[in-house]
Amino acid sequence: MKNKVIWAVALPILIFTVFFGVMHGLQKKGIFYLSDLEGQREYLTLFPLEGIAGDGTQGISFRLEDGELTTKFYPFDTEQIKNIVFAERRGLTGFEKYSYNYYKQENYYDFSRSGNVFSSTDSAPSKDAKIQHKDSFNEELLEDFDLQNAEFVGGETVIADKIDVYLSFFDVDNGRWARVPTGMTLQDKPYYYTRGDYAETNSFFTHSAFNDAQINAICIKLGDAYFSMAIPSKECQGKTTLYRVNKEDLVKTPDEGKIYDQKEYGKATALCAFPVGEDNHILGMFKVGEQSIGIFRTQKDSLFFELYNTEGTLVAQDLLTNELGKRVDQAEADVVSWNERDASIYFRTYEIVKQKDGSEAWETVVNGMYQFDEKGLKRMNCYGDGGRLLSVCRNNLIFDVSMVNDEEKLKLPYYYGYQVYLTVMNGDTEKVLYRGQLVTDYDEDIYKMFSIYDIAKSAPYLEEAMKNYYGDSIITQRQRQIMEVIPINGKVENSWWR
Amino acid sequence: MKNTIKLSNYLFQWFFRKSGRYIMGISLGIAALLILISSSLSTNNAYQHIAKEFRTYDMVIDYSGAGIVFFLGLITLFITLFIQMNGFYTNGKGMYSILMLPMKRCQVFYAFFLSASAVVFLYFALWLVAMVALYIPITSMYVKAAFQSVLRFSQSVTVREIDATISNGFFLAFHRSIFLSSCFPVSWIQVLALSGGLFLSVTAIVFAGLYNESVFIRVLLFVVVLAGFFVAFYRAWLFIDNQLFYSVRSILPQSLYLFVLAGFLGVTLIVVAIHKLKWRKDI
Repeated sequence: MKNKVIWAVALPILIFTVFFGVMHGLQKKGIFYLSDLEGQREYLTLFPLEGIAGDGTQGISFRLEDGELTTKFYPFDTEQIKNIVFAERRGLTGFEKYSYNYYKQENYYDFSRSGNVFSSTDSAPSKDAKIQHKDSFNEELLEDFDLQNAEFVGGETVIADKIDVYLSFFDVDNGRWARVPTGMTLQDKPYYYTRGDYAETNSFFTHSAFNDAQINAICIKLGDAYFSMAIPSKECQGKTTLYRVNKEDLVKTPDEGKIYDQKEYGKATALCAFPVGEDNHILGMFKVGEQSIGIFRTQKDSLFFELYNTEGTLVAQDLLTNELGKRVDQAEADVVSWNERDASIYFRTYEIVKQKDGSEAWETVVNGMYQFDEKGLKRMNCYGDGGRLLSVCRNNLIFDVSMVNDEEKLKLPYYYGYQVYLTVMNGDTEKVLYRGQLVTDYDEDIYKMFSIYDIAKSAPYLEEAMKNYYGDSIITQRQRQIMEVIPINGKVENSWWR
Repeated sequence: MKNTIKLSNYLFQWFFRKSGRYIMGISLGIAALLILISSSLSTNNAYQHIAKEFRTYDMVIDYSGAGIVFFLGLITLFITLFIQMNGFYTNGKGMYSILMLPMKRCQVFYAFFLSASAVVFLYFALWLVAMVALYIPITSMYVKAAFQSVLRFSQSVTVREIDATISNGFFLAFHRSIFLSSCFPVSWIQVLALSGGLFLSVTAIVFAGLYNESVFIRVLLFVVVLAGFFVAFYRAWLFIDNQLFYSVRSILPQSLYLFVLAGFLGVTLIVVAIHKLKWRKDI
């Protein structure tokens, strides 16, 4: 022990190395495997999938290919692992992979956006509208807005009883526009357009009773072309038109500073139009593969799902229900594109019911699944409810990954359901061909949930005490679960609209 | 090389005897006491019994406040390191004889750096050993208590004899605990962050101890020491931030940027410190 300093450095390094090695070795010691309950595992080869599991501190990404389950450990929270998995799907490596942020870079949840072309709506009075014209700022606004201190020396106000809705495409890269009429009109109330000129500067303030949030426009990109349609609100009349535009068709528009504009710019091609009114509504549109556009629309009490190609011709149509269509307020769809054309669409439609206390309850109207391939569009039934991680179909087989509550195992009335089951079913006969379970040790984490309760007394019973459980952040952060399951060779897109 | 080790040996022994061992002992003692207090399971009181026994090891450690003790101990260690080095100038002018030794000035710097690193290394290693050693007694105590506890869910459902063991629990505890996962090399990213950050901190404190010409630069170097801590314990900072402010920030790539930055700054500081030592006119 002559060289104490050498020892004092070497011994800790040895300790750290051994510790790091042990921790590295223990990475593989967690329980995570696929156990077959029923049928042959070969059915899974059609649906290779990858997923993310873990808690707020560490986790794994797993892959199930050819019936083989492989896992990879990451010392990060599941959000970060998700970033890494999505980066790998894009083929990124090295530093780019670890600095990828799917939320920012993939527009994962923002489907009004496609590439760098946006679409939006605006309005102008119709040609046949009754128009009142005033040469001053709309004084009513001065009270409503934070404009009390504003002093306008001049202005202009136009009040119209009928206005047209226009659809605009905007390219962020070069600032070019295209603007076309949608065919929709609004005449539920008088709409005003107003301008106030500021005294000091040469600038002005404009405002309109119509704003672009009122009528949403969805823009999607198929191939090189952009497709957009305004999604009507309940007050809209007339028709809404599906437009196609290429980047070259967009033009620079003059900014004339008018309070409204009735002109068209650019060359957008009108593909097809849908009636809009009391009995006709469009719920939303989304891309299906790289060649088709899916649209949910209602007509009287019927709810239709329709597929259009890039020329705007109807490819396939399916009547979902002819009784409940009026009730649908909201629709959601998860699309998995297997290649350019083939896709699996898993959709849910909801009715939004206002509760007495002012909150909203979502009630399911119709759920289901579509398989779209060379044989056309095929409606599939959809099974189970809640806790669904993935539901896809292909080659007439339905593949379903769900969390199921298994009360037998824990004998606790309070159970999250971390058991995930994989099921493959025949699309016609509904016969279960394969059923497997992802066996994990994640259920062991739930006991720590009790650590905040007083268990000495019998009343109030734990069940009651746990009703007000909002979760201690340290407890919820350290609770593992399977977060996400996505098909490997499919392109996943979620969309929702209202 | 031989001279460097000889000198650092002397410095290390001197420091370890004088204050290092007390800091390590006292901080570990306080932490053990805290863990014991926080983990003392209340016996079956008829009126109140918070079910602490269902806590896992990572929760025991994080709730006990051992992490704060560790951090305070580390800061004390750095302060005493600085006081010791500064003492060579003020008490007995030992620094002048050290700088007159028949060795290069850069070797003198390396000797100080090595002895300071040894102290910091030893501090981390001792804590790690203690935390690892506590795992089995504490978890077995908790599992036993959980097995004995009675959970009354409702009038009809009462659950007893719960097996609260966690498979691979050692691994999970060290990854989950804010303190354990950010202060010990549990993963490669933590190895990078810790080595980069502590390299910067140790370099800065040695520089600050040896450079007594300007108070302003010394204060600046203390800030650099704190910056080094920030790099080293970035994970802890992020966890606390995410829990308190519900943000969803991730460790990467910031931790990598910080590591590269800290390493670069540390090397620069070494070069500057050696340069300053070489060109000191007053010795």
